[in-house]
Amino acid sequence: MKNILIVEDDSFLRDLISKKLSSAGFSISEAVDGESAIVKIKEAKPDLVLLDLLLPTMDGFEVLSKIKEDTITSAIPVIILSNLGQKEEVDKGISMGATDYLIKAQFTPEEIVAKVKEIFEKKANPVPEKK
Amino acid sequence: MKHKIIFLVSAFLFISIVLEPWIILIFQPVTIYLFNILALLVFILIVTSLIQKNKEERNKKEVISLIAHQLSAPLSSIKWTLEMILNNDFGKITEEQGEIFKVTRKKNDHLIYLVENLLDTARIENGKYILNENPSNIKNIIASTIDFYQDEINKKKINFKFDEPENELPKIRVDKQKIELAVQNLLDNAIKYTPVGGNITVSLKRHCKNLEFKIQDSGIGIEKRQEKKVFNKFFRGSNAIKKDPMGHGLGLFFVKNIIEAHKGHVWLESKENEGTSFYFTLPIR
Repeated sequence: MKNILIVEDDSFLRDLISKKLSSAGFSISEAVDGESAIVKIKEAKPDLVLLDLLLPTMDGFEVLSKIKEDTITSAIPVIILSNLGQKEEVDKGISMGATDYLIKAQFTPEEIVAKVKEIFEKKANPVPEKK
Repeated sequence: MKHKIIFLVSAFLFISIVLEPWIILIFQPVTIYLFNILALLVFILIVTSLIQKNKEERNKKEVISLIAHQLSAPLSSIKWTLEMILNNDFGKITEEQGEIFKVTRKKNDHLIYLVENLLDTARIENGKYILNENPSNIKNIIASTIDFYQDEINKKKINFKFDEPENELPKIRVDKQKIELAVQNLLDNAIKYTPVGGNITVSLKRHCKNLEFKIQDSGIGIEKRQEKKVFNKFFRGSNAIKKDPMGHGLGLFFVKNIIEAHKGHVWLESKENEGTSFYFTLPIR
């Protein structure tokens, strides 16, 4: 069973995503801020990370750069969760190595599940790059 | 009020500078010395009030941005809750419950749309209005927006016509999402302010180096003296307020900003109780 780490400080939203993803067959771990996220990623090595950009102490970018720096964790796909009007932040996240992004107010829980599944599928069946 | 003071003071200063050689000629040196001190103080006052005005503007934009971010988080939570309820994730719901929640979801989506618009306003004024431009087919953008409003057009029994261009029009570099928003706002207005059974005609054609869009309705029209103000932020025409007291007055403001960000122009022609035509151009590039 694939394990997904949800890094999101809003407990209500975190619970909703968690419920949706676990009913879709994934095992879930949660982190409420940047520091505990980094600890959990290094220990548990999840198969995918859902990372909120606006976190209380350490911001999402710091977490993202720490994940990508460490060779053990750098291959873990990261989906950044952003709020409305954060296009520059999203672009920055993608350029820092995030696999994909979701705008919370525009995506539905079902769509998140679909995106997660899509990323796992792509990883399992990588399309050879056309040179 | 503040601006009036600044204007009066600036006028005083200007006139003083012009009259100074005559004052020097007529009055004693001591008086000239005092006069120069006064002029200097006035100058300092003008400069500090301009700096203050600038700071206030920046603060306002930051506040709007902050509020919009604070609003979008709970709105996302509500959206997701509604989606999960409608998906029976919290237990099977009845058809009646489903209908109510669908309406709630629509209202919530509208709130999210407003917050998005609010954020766009702050970003336009901050100069951070970044466009994501790609070659796009404007005719298709218009057609899909019309599709979106088909139900409302039918409900109001409006005679709707899209005057499509005879020849194939070139694709032009635009931010598709923003142009959709502009067309949506204009179409929304035309439908809202045109009575049942009225007429709306949309046309798109090539005009020299531009594509020209026109939407003509047979609606309530705009008062002549208010025509210049309709593109102002939060402005609502008197006829519009009568028809829809709850409007936010941002629609045309966005249209103008979006079109001008693409280096196009937007304008209107209107006659009260007969109808209004809105035009915009987009350069072909």
